[in-house]
Amino acid sequence: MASVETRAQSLLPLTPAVFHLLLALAEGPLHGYAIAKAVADHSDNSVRLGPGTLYGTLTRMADSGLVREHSADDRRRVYELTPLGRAVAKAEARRLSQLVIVARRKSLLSRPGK
Amino acid sequence: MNHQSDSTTPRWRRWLARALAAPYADRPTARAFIDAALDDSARRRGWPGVLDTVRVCIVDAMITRWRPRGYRITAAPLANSIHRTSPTRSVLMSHLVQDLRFALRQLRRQPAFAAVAVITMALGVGANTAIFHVAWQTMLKPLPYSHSDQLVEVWEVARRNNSQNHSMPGKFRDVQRDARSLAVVAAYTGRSGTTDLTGTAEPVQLSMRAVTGNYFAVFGMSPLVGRTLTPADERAGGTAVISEALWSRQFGRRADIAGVRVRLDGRNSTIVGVMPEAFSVEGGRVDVWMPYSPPPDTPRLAAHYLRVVGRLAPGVTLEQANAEIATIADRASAMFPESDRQWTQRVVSLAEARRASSTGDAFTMLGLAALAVLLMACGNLMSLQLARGVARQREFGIRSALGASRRRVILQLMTEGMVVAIAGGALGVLVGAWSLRALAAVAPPDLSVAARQLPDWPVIALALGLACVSALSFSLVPAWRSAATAARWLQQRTESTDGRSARIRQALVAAQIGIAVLLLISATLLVSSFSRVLRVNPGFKADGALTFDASIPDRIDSYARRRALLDGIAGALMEVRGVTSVCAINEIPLDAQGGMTYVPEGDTRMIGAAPRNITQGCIDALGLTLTRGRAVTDHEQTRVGIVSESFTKTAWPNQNPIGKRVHLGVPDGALIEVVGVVADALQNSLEFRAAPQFYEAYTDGSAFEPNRFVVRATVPPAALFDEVRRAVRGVDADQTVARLRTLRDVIDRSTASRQFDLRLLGAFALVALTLAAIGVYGLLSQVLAQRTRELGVRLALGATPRSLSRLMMRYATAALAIGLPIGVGAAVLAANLLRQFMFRIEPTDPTVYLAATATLAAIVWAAAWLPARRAARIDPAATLR
Repeated sequence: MASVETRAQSLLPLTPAVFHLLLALAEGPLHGYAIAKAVADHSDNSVRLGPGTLYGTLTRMADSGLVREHSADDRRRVYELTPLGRAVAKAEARRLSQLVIVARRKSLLSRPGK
Repeated sequence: MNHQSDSTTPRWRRWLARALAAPYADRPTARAFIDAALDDSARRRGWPGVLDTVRVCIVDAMITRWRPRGYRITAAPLANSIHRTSPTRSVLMSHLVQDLRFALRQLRRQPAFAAVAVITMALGVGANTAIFHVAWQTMLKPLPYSHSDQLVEVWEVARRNNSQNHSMPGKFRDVQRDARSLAVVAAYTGRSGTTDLTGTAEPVQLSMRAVTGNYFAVFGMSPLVGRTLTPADERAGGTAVISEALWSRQFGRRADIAGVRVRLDGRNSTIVGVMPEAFSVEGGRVDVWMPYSPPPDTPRLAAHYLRVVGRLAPGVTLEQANAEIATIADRASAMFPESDRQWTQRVVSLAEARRASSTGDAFTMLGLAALAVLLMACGNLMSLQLARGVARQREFGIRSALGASRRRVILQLMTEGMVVAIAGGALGVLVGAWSLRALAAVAPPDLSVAARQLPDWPVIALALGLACVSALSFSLVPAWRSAATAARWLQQRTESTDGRSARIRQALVAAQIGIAVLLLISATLLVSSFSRVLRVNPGFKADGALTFDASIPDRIDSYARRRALLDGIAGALMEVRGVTSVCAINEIPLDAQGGMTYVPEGDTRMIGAAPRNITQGCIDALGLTLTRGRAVTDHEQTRVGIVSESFTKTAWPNQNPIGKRVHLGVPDGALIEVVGVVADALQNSLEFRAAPQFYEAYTDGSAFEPNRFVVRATVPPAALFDEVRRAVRGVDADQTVARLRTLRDVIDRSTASRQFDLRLLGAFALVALTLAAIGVYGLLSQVLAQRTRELGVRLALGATPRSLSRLMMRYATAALAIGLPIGVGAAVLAANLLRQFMFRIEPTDPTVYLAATATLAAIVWAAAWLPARRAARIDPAATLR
């Protein structure tokens, strides 16, 4: 069995939807609508997830071991990150920030604060 | 934070959440999500937030759940080598603009399709606009008064059968004096009287309302100019408030109108104010409000003619007011058993009374019919879209090959639907408003006023809203099919018939046939019911007679002078060519209101009857049938009268009524001797049994002034209008001749409400038939287009042209075989709901069902016949080339 890091690397790059969900869950377990709301907030309302997209993606992520069901009361299902999910999120963030650094060097992006 | 929907969630939101969650496989989870989303967005952003959530959920459902078969993306990945960015708002907007442009271009390229689609939508939306417009104007529009929920009407209610009646003056006085639960109570005369505004060149007929001094205080609306009437005016008289319409029409909106002296009703009056246009309580036009002081509470006058309005005292509920009013009525019953024993009183909210008017049920019926028409229109549009979708497979295939996502294809088709719907909706508002104007002529007065108004914003909003919902409903399925067939086109590179589209279209046509037959049967039932109403014998001869109102000015103040004027007019009218009889009467049959009580001599029973005061000649002029005794003359020595047959049956069953005497109003009222009996004449409506009638010879002391004339002639009465006017003017130049019309017109007016409903429903049924025919024709034309090659092969292999057209007709027959039984079944159910609108006809009358079904079948076959004939004329050589 490969290490968590190796498995995380093998899943990159992530689709934006999956990365958004990982980011939303990074702060702790959330139920379905709270995740969608967090994603909308992070993306300045440009990413709006409906129940089908959200639960479809969550199910695929659970199948790959990125998230798991934390608990479920009668109707709401609460999800949390697995250690693998957290590692994948970190790895993707690192990958993207490296890309951002490259972009800055090529003068495609202004430095923060400027 | 709990997002479960609980009892505090509004019902519409629970309903909405359920609808939005319905497409998902895991409904409870989706439902929890949607509940939370709706709750949150409603709280944070209100309506726009809710709409946004609805939009997100619909798009989500479309791309995740209703993914067309055969178009599954290979397991949607977690990781993606190409970074697809989610579209930002501006990208979405540019897509929308792009889609809109494209939709408009598409429609321009196919003007025939565009025209049919827009007109179909306009018919569907127009029907609904018409109904909602009238309902809005007459029932739903908020009253324009402050705290209008405090406004009430006070009615008398018969203890015996709970029927409502106008108020006796005594009862109004009791309430005005004793009721603490009402802050203000006012009365006005039940029928709008008439008066003339003389002093100008020509006497003008005005619609007048006599009101108590505090009438305007009830509504609390400020006048446009000057002041309203006050209790001081009620005592002094000689003042008047006019309507904004009259101010414009007659006085050119002069600013110094307050203080202008006019001759109203032969008396000098001063105009003190102008009320704005918005001040109209219950339909009908009022030009002039004049102060009026009803008789005092004692002696009790048993005439029910006042309409009472009031305003609840602050903090008082309707129930509390009713309890108090009932106590007051009970006390009066004990004090004045003769006049008051049979009556109690009831307080009704004005808004409620307006909604509960008898027309409410008719609106429900017509509203449902209009929705059915809209459903059919949507069916046709969906069918058209499906057909176009098949024809555009190649286009969508290429578009998806070039990278258009499924979502883009669906959104683009929905945008096209939306463009059609909004254009059709806007046209529909015009169609609805215009057809109502056309119908206003046959509408009863209050509806006629409403029908002529321009649609208000809520009506337009509803119409466009309906159009948008329709667009969603009729383009969703075709869009989904298009996305599916686009994928197939990509795989096979050939255009194929879409079997599922064809089946959906067939089902749609069957459903349309069902709806059409339902509407047709309902309309036919009501039409045959109406023709039975028209064949009712009204008890008087309507043809060959005319009638008019001659309000006798108050300045002619003695019986002798009034009598002289009436005799003078009657004499002049007898000189008009062809006139055989003339009489004056206080109310015309079928245009009558109010009642009076009569007590047979030596009896304690009070008999309610329609009070009539007549002059000589009324039996002949009205064409009543004298069954016993004699007619009355103008030279009676004592007070005598004629009763109707139902009166004698109630008062003196199995006895000879001639020579019996009756007290007028109360047991110690004036005595009137019965000298004759006539057959009953209908008084209020052709549809209800006649109330008993009492025709008293007009004399000094009669309760009512006979100022309506009835003239019977041997020439067509409509040809005599000018001569009648001249004859009356010849007697007194200031005398007005108002509401000059034939008795036949009076009957037509009395059936106006039924005619109005009927014409609307008839129009809906006609539209439904047309839509069904278009639907069948469209389906078969497309089947033909797709199967031309196959039919050509069949012909080449020996099929006869006849067998080909039979093959085509089979589509129509199949749709009929499914649609007709469903429609007839629904019609049986609907007919039971329509029972209350029916008159002497059974809701299951088989001839009606047969006729309607046969008509529809004939039209469907006729629509199918054209494509079928084309099928028979296929040239096999041409198709096989």
